[in-house]
Amino acid sequence: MDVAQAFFYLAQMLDSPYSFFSMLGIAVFLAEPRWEKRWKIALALLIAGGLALLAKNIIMEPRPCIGGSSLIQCPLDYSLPSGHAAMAFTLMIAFIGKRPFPFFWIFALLVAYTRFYLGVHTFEDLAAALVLAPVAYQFADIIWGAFFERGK
Amino acid sequence: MMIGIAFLLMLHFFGRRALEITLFGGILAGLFAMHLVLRSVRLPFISWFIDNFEREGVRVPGFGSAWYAFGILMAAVAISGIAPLSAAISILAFGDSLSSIIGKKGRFSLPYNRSKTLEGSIAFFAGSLSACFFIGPAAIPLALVCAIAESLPLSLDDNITIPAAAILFFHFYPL
Repeated sequence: MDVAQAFFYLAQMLDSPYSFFSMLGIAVFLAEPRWEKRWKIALALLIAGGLALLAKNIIMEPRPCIGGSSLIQCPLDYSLPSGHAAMAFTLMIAFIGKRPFPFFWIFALLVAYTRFYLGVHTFEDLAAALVLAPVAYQFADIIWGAFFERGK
Repeated sequence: MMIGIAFLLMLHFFGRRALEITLFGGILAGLFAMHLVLRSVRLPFISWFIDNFEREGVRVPGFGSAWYAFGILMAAVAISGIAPLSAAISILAFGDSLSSIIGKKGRFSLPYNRSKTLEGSIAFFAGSLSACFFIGPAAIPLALVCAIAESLPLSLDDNITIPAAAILFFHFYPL
């Protein structure tokens, strides 16, 4: 198996929601020892995914792969922003200043690049996902502060 | 303000894609730099910049500046057309900068947001009229919408709410 083929398999693995969410869960579990923080990160990821889904259905930008130019089957939903990249960037922001940050920085770049490499997203989709990430984390911070840290 | 002007020049001389790539790469590099600063690594120029220009009370040093880049990137992705995008960037560059300078010296607090002043909002509106240079008289309602968005007591940073207001404006009032 050559490097290009190995990278294609990796990109395919990151594309699959089952393996992608499993990877996110395992990474958070290993990198963050505190349960409270783990749940906060999970909330931020949920918000990032929800905001991405909402934006996709408001903007309704068609996928660049419509017509069969992607390396995998073209997803049926809209393109902008990339939900995978939004969650990976949110995870990266959650770990800023912590020891595992470089791993999540590389992971986010890898996820973003694989979306572009597979032909299912454009650069604009990835840029929009990067913008969505701090907004999602900020919302998670506000919600967490309002509902879970009240009275502490 | 100077950074905003630099982004405007980049947009006009090198195009939207160059601006987007610069911001995308710059934000990722900047986040890594912020991480290093938080890990007590002194970085040439970046540590000096954070020491001298960062807003007070931020949890992550440098994130105040990062919001600015996030805001311009958001506008670059969502606003189609060079003239409307230039208008949105000029509002962030001139309106927001002017309101920060004048607002701090203001006396009259806004009734719905005690942390902002009327003088700051007027300065924001006046500075935002620089968008006239790109979109003509449409800059007046745009400046008003952005000034209102900037003055609201929201938990999100101004540098996100202002471009968000500009995006909504151009969505309902396409040029």
